[in-house]
Amino acid sequence: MAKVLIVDDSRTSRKILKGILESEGYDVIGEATNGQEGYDKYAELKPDVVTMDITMPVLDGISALKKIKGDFPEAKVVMVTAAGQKTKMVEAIRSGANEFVAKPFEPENLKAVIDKVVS
Amino acid sequence: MFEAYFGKYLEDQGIITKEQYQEVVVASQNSRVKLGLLAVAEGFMTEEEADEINDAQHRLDKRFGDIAVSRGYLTDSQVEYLLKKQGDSYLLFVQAMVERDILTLDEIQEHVKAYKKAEKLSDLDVDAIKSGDVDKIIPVLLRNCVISPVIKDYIALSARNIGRFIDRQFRIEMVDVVDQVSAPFAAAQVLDGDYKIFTGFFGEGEALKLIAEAYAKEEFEVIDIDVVDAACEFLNCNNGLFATKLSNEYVDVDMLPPILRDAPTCIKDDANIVKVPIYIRDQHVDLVICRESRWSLE
Repeated sequence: MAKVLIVDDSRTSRKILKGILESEGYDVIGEATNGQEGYDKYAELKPDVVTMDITMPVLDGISALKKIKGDFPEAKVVMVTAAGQKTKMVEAIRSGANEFVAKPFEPENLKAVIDKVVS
Repeated sequence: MFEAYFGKYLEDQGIITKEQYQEVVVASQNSRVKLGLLAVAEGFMTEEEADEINDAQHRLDKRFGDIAVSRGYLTDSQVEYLLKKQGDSYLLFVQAMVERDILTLDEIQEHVKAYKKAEKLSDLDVDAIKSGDVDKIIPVLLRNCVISPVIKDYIALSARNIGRFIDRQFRIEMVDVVDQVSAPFAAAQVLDGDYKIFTGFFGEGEALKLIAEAYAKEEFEVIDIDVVDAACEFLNCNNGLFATKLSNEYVDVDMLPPILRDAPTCIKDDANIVKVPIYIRDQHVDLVICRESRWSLE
């Protein structure tokens, strides 16, 4: 099953995401609490897909996306957004985001998005 | 929603006990079926369509009936029929009190009169609260202060989302504009862009825990930073829906990273802090909103 890295500053979001992903059979191999930590863990773990929150301290999700895609063009990154982040979504698409999922998470939608990205 | 205010008044006056109030609230809520369930039971829409609308409500600040009509699942007249069938929550509350011999109808009428006098409410104010329509209720709660339309919209949207995602059993007391708000816990987020707005929940912890548990669907044993984090995730979703609303009005705001405090926190800004007292299952938390950027957080 696909290996997933979760990058989100919210413990709540990480826990909800991990619960859904693991119940769908994905292997959550790591978690990071900001964009910089996400980049470091990507380089170390080389997951099949990353879920990347947009709004984070230290290094935000879009900067981390650019950094990961710059060094690892094959990386697959699903951006996690709240409603109302249209401008950020456009910026993420331009920076190479593969897909989006919106909070609050809907398990079926999340599974469909991750399946699409890793297939 | 009127029953929440009136019921609390009856309890505070010692006319009914806290236990009687809770019993009546539970009984009246149990008699009120959700609109989606009613629509499916009536054969107006499928369960899948109802689920689709429930999901859409996570992204849209719209009522179930409005979305159903816009997607062609229900007609306006079907929504009207369903709302009638669903029943008036205040009448259900009254019915539950009378059935339990807690108060007679005449006694309730007398207490309503006394409540209106005590709270200086007009018949129109009471009708607005009884309607359950947040957009009509908020102006009644704002009569002690003057605030900008954008903050008024934010309060209304937040009230709808608390009822939708957290608990239908909540009430908002009179809104006030103050110099500072202090609390042992705070979950906050700043919206930045065309507007700069500070938003946050400040409270003792129990109400934050209720928000956290309802949103994260997780039980928390203690009130700590994890509770604040989960409450802030709800705030983040709420703010996302607000940003979507603003975006439809060509106003662009971005959400900044959350501010989580599990130690005494105080926000100060001379006569510029809007304090919205919210009671969820009788636990108090303040929704704090502040325009522009003169606030300081200690």
